[in-house]
Amino acid sequence: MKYFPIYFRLQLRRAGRLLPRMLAVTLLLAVLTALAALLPSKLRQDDEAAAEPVCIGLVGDLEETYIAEALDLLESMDSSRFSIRFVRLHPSEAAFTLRSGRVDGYAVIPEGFAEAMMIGEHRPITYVSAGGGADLGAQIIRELAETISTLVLETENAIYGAQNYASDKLPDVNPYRAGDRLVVRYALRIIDRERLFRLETIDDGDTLSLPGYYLCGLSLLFLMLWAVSCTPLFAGRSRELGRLLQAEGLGGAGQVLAEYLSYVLLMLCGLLAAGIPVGLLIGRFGLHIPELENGGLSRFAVGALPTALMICALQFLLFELAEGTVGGVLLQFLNAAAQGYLAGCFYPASFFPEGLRRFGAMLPAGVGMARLRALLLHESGGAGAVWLWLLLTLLAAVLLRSRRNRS
Amino acid sequence: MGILGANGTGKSTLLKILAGVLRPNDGRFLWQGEDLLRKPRLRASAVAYVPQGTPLIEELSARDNLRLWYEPEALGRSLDGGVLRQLGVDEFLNTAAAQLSGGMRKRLSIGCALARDPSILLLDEPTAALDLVAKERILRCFENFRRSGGLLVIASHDPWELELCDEWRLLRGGVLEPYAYTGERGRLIRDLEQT
Repeated sequence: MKYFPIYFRLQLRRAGRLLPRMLAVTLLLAVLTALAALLPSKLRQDDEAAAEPVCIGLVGDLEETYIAEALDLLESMDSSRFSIRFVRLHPSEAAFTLRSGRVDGYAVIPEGFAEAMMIGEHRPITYVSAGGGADLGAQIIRELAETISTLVLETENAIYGAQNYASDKLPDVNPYRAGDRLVVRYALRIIDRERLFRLETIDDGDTLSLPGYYLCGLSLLFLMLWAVSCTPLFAGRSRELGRLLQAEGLGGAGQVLAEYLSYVLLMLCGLLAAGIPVGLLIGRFGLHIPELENGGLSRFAVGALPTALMICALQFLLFELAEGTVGGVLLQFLNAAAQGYLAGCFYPASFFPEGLRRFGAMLPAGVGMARLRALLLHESGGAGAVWLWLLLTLLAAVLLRSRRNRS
Repeated sequence: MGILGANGTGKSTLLKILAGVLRPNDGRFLWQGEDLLRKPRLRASAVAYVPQGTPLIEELSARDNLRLWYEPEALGRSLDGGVLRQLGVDEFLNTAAAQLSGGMRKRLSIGCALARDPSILLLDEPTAALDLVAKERILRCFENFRRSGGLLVIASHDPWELELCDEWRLLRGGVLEPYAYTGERGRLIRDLEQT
């Protein structure tokens, strides 16, 4: 191994020659990545600020006591008041208002709707929309009608059943008072919607916030794409030199180690340089990542280092496999796109079928993504898999180099 | 020693085996009573190899490339009046290898190979595709190496290179046969066609 120190030093010098060009590309890539992270966040904020509630017109007998009270409740107390706005319309203006786009649809409530319901007569509410029955408003009204129908039917059944039971079997209980209590309890259940449903999302983000997810996905994607800027470092390697060094005693392992370490140092310089403008951009646009509060960014950066080393090792292996500049660049892009996609850098991996998701999670990018998420969530899992992939890829690179040196 | 043979007969493979780049299935490489195939350290100090391609780090200067093979003092000596001076490497010491001409790169490669003052120099078509001036400079260096007691083993078809040799071998069917090289081109072509 007498050649290792000098070979390593020369590899460092090579990396140093590439440093200015690499820094320029890295800065560009980092700024683009940061903008890619900030833009959706900014757009989302704008959307939220400019969000108009769905506007639904109401036509017909709205003065009827029960309907008026129900509307009053919905407009003043129910949480749906933030997303749905009701507008009272005269029958003659309803169609025109819908065509002009001022309402998303309107519901025609027939005269004596509530009284008819109480005597069991069916007078349907008509909902008119411009979307051919497939728009959001139509869906809301359809769901609402079904829910009301079911609730009224089941509630009435229960109330009358309870009253009959009380009259027959419980002489001490006033059936009408018990019926009233039951009605009140049902009403409370219906009004207190928060306790009637549980929000579930199909995202596998555990408790990771959306900005946190962006940070993980884009950090990983950045690391994988970054290698493209280092293509000259690998494309210009002399196979003959590798063979000669092997004959002189510096085998594949020593060569790969020296080249990999210099590549890692180059990467660290790049990350350090890229971190400053990205940090400034994040500060300027005020991207808030809840998981990184109280100085968590430096802890995350340090914790992410093994993942960065593993990605570097993978890139090293790919450059070892590729021939020439074009082949190297294409392979790196293909790897970043395919693995980034499967790891959930573009879409959450939970959108994929179970088998594909498991496969993606076993790949280096999937393992890296899991580790970054664990870091943000202050968990310790995933580190072993990262180190395992790092060793495996380096070992594969050493075997490949040794074989090539012997050819 | 000049090694002749048609393309694909195994001249380069033979040199790679002697240089320790490839492992042979069987056989010995005897030098002063020692089998160099079994003594890699001795082989590394006694044998130098100049492949057809350029074993250089392209982004680095000629000086940096030499640093890989030379001890600092030895490099200084060689540049002052040694083999590197003879090869004219001192003329482009600070130029990146990637910017050197084909002749310069070959001279630099030979200079790197001669770093440890070897007894045997294995050369695989060393002056192929070089212009006459570069070729002449390199051949002069080989001549000096031979005169100083070194053994040149050249795989080549080039008459200029072959004329440096005292004896020749024709590689035919994996066997090195003695060959009487006369410099007559027609006969050489006929003999090569038969391999």
